[in-house]
Amino acid sequence: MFDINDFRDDNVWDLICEGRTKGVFQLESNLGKHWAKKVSPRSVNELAALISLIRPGCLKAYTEGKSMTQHYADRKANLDPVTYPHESVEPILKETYGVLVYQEQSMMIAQKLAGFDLKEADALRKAIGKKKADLMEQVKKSFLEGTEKRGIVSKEVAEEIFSWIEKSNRYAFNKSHAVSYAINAYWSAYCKNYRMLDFYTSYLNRSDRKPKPQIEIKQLVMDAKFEGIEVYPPRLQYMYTNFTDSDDKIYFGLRHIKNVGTKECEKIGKLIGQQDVSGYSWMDVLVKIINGCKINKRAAISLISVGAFNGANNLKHRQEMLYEFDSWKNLSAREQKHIEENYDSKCSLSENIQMLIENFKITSRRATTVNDIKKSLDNPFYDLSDSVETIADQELKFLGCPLTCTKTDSVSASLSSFLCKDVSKGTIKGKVNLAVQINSLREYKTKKGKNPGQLMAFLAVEDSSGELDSVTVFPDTYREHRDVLIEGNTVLINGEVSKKDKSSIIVNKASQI
Amino acid sequence: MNYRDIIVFDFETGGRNPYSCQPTQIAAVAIHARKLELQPGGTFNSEIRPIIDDDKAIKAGVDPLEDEALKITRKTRDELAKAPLPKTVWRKFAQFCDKYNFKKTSYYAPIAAGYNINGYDMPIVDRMCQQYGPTHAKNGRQGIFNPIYTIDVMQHIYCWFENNQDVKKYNMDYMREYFGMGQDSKDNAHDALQDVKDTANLMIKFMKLQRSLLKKVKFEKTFANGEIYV
Repeated sequence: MFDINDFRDDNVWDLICEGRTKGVFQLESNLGKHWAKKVSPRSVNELAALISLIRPGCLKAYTEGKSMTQHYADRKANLDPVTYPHESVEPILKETYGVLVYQEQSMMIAQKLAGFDLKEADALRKAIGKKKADLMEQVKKSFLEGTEKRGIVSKEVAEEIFSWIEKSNRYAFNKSHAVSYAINAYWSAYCKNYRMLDFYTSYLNRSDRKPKPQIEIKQLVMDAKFEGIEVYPPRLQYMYTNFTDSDDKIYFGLRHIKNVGTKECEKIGKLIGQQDVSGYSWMDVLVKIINGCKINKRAAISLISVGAFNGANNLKHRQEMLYEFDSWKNLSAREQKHIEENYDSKCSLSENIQMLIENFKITSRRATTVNDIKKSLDNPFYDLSDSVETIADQELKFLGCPLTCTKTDSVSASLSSFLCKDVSKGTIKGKVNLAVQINSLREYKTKKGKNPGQLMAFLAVEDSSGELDSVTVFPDTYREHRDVLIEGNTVLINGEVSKKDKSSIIVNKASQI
Repeated sequence: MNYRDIIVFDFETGGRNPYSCQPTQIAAVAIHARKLELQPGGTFNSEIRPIIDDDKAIKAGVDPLEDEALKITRKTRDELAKAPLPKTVWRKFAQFCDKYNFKKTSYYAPIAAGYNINGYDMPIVDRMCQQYGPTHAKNGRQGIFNPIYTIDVMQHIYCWFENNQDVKKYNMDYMREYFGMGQDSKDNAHDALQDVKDTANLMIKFMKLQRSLLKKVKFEKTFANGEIYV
């Protein structure tokens, strides 16, 4: 039994503080992960502050060269002293280390220093929030009069505090809102920590509600991998419409494969309900699933490309199946029907076409075509074996991320000294070699340093162990290796673990693999 | 920056006019865009059955097979009569090229490359696509290769050697000799597969050279100082 009001689980706070917050309410973006690590909240109040501080207003509100978010993080980590505009506001701002985070704090300051009642304090909040100049002028007047009457602070300090409150309108957030967000965030982190399999399965099933479902799937799969949960591509013995967990693994849902619609899933689901398809041969698949369920061409190509039709009795290469499927589509409906009624599941398509030629009445014109199709099956025009690259490419395209292998699989063992996961966990230091694929590249112009305005880059890279999203390439290195640092490319990165952030890498050299 | 793989291809044909000749062989090699290496399993090769009977060919609106063309390509009518039909070959060729279109959009379709392809092979590709597909939905043009870029190695070589007295001709046989390609290459000249391999080697040689030069030459704002030629 757990108490819904008990927020003291250290494992949950560890998960948040380590930035493992993909899927955690309000903290699942890279920004959320980054600041969760920096701020390291250990209570609902701190979590509420974090959620308020990672809103755009706070991140953009700069004072003394730092954002409010950075001020909060530095003060909390004892890197900066905690200061207050006046000692009288210390009790109000203490919980946020002197940073004015919430609108409620402005209201409390006005109550304490200017003697505002709740109605007046709310008018102050509204005036600030709605930026009404005339109302603001009025409230300012009342505030200054009130402070003078109370005499807690001098006129100068009162003016300074008011201007501070005024500026906070860019970022201050509603505390009651923030706390309710924080409670939801805590419980979603709790579910992630203690019901990981269910957590990922349900999040993956809801990926289609996101604006970019394939990117969401990729992020969740990578995150699950990092947490030790593998997501497997569909196979004949694991054909599920939705993402489904079984034996501590998650199987990819057919509905989430690109070009596969609900209708196709329903038809396949109905067939699976009637018979066991796990032992199907390729001919069975072609006849009973693709033809029998009237799977459209695009969906069939997607399913073949991700290996959904592979199983114990169908070990064919995906390229070979695609090639044969194209030949199958080249047969007429009558010819397909004859094969459907008379096929031998243990024979190849070519052998079944041979039986068609021998036993079915076809016109001489069709005979030429059918013979031709058979010949092209017997002597394919190109190599039909699957390569690591094509499997990874096809799965990326149709599933959103490669599940069977990654492009770097064939080289990573010999070239890499570590895996992305080792770096992400922050357990290693010093020099590293990583054989990776570049998932994303963001360019920035430097603002500081010897020559401001130079291009540098931040990369997110991936290998079979998962994703590493904090790889920095400084201007000199970027200039030298820009020709290989391209999204989608596979490279060998020589670099070192950053001393500031042990889960990130600074690139010294990059070369094509 | 090139993200697209390159497919070096070549037709052998039974005539000279690319707008009416009959293809008798097609071969292609797929080259990795970044590594400039042959893709695993990236070789396509097939003969194509032409219309052997001259009258039927004329009736079908194509040129009859020319004996001289068959002699150059070392093919006989009997052999070609047993080759797969153009439709079968073309569907498989389209499928082969599609393997290297990693986003399955025309923008990411592989780049067509070859020797004198702009003048000769691309019109044949257009014709084959018109007849057997795929075509681009909007403009009806070929839908196999990238619609914007092509790499014509002959044009490329011309730009390099146009001021060089040593190079007298720009045909493939002369290039084989000039670049000192092996005996195998010369013996199998005018076999489509040998031709694409040779073309691919030339293309990779020049692309690697350009990549290394690009690091040393600064083109950006090169005319900014006002020194222009024309």
